[in-house]
Parts: sequence; structure tokens; C-alpha cells
Amino acid sequence: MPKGEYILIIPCSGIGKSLGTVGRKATYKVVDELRPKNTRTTCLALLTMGDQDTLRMIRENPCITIDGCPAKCAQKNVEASNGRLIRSFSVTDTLRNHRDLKPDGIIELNPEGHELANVVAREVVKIIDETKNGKSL
Amino acid sequence: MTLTKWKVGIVSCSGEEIPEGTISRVATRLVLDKLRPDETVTICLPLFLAGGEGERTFAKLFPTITVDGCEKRCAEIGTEKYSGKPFATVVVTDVLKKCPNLTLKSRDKLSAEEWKFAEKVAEEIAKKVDEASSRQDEQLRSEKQWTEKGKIVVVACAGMDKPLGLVTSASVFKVVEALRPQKAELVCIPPLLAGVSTYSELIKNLPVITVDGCAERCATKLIVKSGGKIRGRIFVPDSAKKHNLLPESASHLGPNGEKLAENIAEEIASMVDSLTQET
Repeated sequence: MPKGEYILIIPCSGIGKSLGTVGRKATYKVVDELRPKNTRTTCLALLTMGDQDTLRMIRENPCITIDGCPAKCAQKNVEASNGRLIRSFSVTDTLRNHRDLKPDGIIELNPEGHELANVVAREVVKIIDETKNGKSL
Repeated sequence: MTLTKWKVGIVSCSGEEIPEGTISRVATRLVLDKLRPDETVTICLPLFLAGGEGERTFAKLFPTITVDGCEKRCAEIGTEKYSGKPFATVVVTDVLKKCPNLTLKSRDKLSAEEWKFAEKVAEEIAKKVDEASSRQDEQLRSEKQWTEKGKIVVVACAGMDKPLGLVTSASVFKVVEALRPQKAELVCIPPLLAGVSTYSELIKNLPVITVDGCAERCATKLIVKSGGKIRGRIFVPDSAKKHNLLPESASHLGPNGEKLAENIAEEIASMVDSLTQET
């Protein structure tokens, strides 16, 4: 895809919490299944270490971050790298509206966690579609 | 109460973009959850940039093994840049070279073969954990030789502006004056800040227990900055929650604050015993 023609979906690494895995699963749901033509993901760790190619990519393309916890690592890393952040999502916010979907497990999520990831993915897709339809990328 | 001397930190790359990143994440969790659950701790790598100074002390507090999916070595480089030099690094692509018939395909749902490979990477990490642990044991033995009397240094934040700061001072006084006067040595923060060499030598050469009254964790940060070897940490807000006790004010403990200080002093004394036995 040429530059500026896809949206980057960047989850936190979230290795310590189920909520981090939910963000990661939601990202793959969007990038691999729901909107594979318009989206890509990249490793957040590349931003943390200041990789030049990745810095250029997040400055040239709209970014959506998905964070698992209030530390908001994905959002803060994109902001600190001057990325084009158009929206940041927090799994805890989605969970607040879907209290029955309490995630459990980190390597392997429980069914509620998978469903929560699907809900987050649908929220992200809504923003992607609005961005695509209303404005140029 | 956190005894830090046996813990080894593991920091995985996030690796969302490639299957090797998912392997590094899964392998790291296998070590944390199954292979070495009592010996290991972790932190999210991007928290080094997003978090505060507290997070950045991680690799100074724990010998750290970084786990990277690819040759870009984000975990290794990021950890060294923000926190401290890792003890060792495991790179998934290096382990993959030992399995020429395997091609990693999935970054989300691992196949049975990919799971087996993640377990192999986890074994490699666990070996490094064991090496780091035995290195720590050697270090502790050398501390024992230096100290002769097996003393442990206790450092309290002594925060004057918060009630729990008063509890930190009260609890360490109970340890050095009453509970373990032969084994525990009090080092106060102002001489360390002023660079008084007697004190800075003590914290560099003896195991240190820090006692912090708030999330700023000044005692811990100062010891890390000064090159001290933290072997145990007490976070008083956790103890207050555990015992359901709070002091009256920043200048007066009151009966509940006194009781809390006694409980914490017992915890510190128990750490001192454990450390002096182990060393």
C-alpha cells in the first residue's frame, strides 16, 4: 500500500494483563479479517526504541491505538513519536460498557475475552469507516 | 513485602507485526506462568517510554532477560536505552535456525507446531533465568564476604509530608533499635544526597532494604541512582491496606499507626533474617 493510504492499528504490548491480550486480538481482528485492505499494524516496541522507518510510517499514516490499561502505553508512545494519532481506544472503557465480558487469561483468552475483543474491533472499524468515507487518509 | 534478590526480570518485545513477535510473547508468558513462576517478573516494554522513573528502574532492580522476535532487538535496545543493560537476550529467529523445517506463519492463532516451538524458546529463556539466578547467588556470597557480620542496610523514605512517611521512619527505628540491632544498619537519605562517602560505601557494598511511603518510591529510586543493591522492598501503602491500619497524621502516629509500624517492622526483620541466612 502506498504511504498515507492505510490506517495503522497499534495495540499496547500488554504482556502483564488479559486486557492487553484483548487489545492485541482486536487489532488482528481488524487488520486480518474486518478491514485488511485499509489497515496495517506495526510493532509498538519499534517506537519505543526509536526505529526510523517506523517513526516515518506513523507520521505519514493515520494511527489508531488500542490500550489495555490506563498506563496507555500505545497512545503515549505514538504521541511521544509525533505520530498522526486520530483516535485512541482503551479496552477498560469498552469493558465498562460490557461488564459481562470480563476477560481472563493472557496467552489464551476465555470466551468473554474473545467477545470483548470483537466489540473493541467493531468500535475501531466504525472509526476506520468514518475516516475513509468522510476524509482523505 | 517484596524480596527482590531471587527475581529475574523478563522483557519481551511486543512484536505485533510478525509471527516471531507472538512467539516471543507466548514464550515469555510460559516462563512467567509455568516454568519459573516464583523466580520471574515482567514489565511491558513500551512502559519504559510511557511510564515514569519508577518503571525505568526495572532493569536496575532485576537482572533482566530480553526476548526479541527479530534481529531488530527492540526489547534489548529499548531496555538498555531506558532502564539498564540486560543480563542476556534470547532472539526467536536465532532459535528458529535450529529448526530448519519450521516456518512460522501465524501471528495470532498458533498451530500445534508453533506452540511446540514457543515451548522450546521458553526453555531457552528459562536457562538464562537460571544463569541469572546463580549469578545473583555469587554476588550475594561476595556481599557476605565484604560485610563479615552479615549486616543489612535499611533505608526509609521518611517522607515528612505524608502520614505513611512517618510510618516508614517509625518502622525502621523499631528494627535497628529493638528487633534486629545486630543485623540491621540504618542509613538516612540526606547524607546520601549530600554524598557522604561512609554512607554511599555502605549502600554499595551491603544488601539494602528500602521502605517507601508513597508511589514516588523515593528511597528505592535514590538507592538505584546511587548504585546500591536492593534486595528487599517494602511499600507501606500496600502494608496499610493489608493490615487495614492508618496513622492519624503526618506528625502523630496514633494507636493504629503505631500498630502498623510494628507490623511493618516485623516484616522488615523477617526480610533481614532471610537475607542474612541466604548470604
